[in-house]
Amino acid sequence: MSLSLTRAHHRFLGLQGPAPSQPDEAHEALTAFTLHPEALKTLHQLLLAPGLLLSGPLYGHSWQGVLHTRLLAPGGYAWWLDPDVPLALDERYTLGYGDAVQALCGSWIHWAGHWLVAAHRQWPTPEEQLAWLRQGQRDGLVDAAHPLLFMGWSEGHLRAEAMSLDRGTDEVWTLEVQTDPGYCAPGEATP
Amino acid sequence: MTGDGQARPKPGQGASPGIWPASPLRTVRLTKQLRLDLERLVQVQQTPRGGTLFGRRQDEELHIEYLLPSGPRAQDVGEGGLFHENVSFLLGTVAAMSVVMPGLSWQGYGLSLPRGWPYNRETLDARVQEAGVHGLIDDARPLLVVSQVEAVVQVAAYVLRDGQVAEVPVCP
Repeated sequence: MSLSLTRAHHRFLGLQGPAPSQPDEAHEALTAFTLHPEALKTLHQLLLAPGLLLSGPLYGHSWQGVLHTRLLAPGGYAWWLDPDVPLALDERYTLGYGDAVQALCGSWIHWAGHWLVAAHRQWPTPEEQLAWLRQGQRDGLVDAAHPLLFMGWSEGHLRAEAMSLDRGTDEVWTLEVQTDPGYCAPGEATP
Repeated sequence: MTGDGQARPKPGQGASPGIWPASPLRTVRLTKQLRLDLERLVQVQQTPRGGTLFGRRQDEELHIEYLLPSGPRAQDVGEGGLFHENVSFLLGTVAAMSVVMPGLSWQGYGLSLPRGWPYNRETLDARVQEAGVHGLIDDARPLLVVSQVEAVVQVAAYVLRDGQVAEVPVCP
């Protein structure tokens, strides 16, 4: 099978030229964010117990301004990531993961953003969010087309919001997060 | 960053980790799509390529559905030779497979040789043994070798039984 060059290849293999443009609707500004069942399952697992700060790429596709998130992937093998680097990514791990996703799902499912869960699994404060958004922007992981999904417990409820930073104004903007119909919405009791 | 020891996944890890097949491997079966992909691959490549096999075991048959790259494209073969292991890349691949295709597991290694690459019994046995030494294949998880002999694409599978190279028929 032939795999097309993705954002990960450009980033980690140092390829020249503009990053490959994502299929179809990706150029449209994002207005909403949907978590599909597999991603929702991962969200629940991530918030089960406190531990290390975790983050990684999220995979999905954009359609008419809505980012449909299918997978929340690890940033790498946890024991090999530098715990002091908040958005640490193992490049080879990410390439392996991304190539497999592309081979199985097609290149329309792409690395569409990033996710993060704090060590205490609580909903981060606005200050913490801004710090991570800035870090993400510096690292080239967060921009208008690639939001950062925050997840955490807030007053006993699961909370999830996708955010990004406006490059010019430094203003934080939030995307409404929906879940696939028929599944538990964030905040509802988990089984 | 590369690692060793405790983090190293073993073939077969995935849907049913730790379950050792009760019956010996008698046939390797490829999906039609995989067969097409392999034929296409071997015709266009210029250098040998390695990959990891994903499939499921059904009694004496191994059904292989995917051959995924074993490393980032620019480093498919290079330092370390044909079986250069890219542990991080492999862990990422296995992680994605276990989420997207939980019914499949890592079932061996694939090697595609471009036209003109030396291919005789001696070099073949050496490659199979080498793959065994790297822990990539064993008596249940084969080395799939794709080659082109006089414009005909051939796919063969080999396992290691008591240190000896044994061929397993491939269908189609």
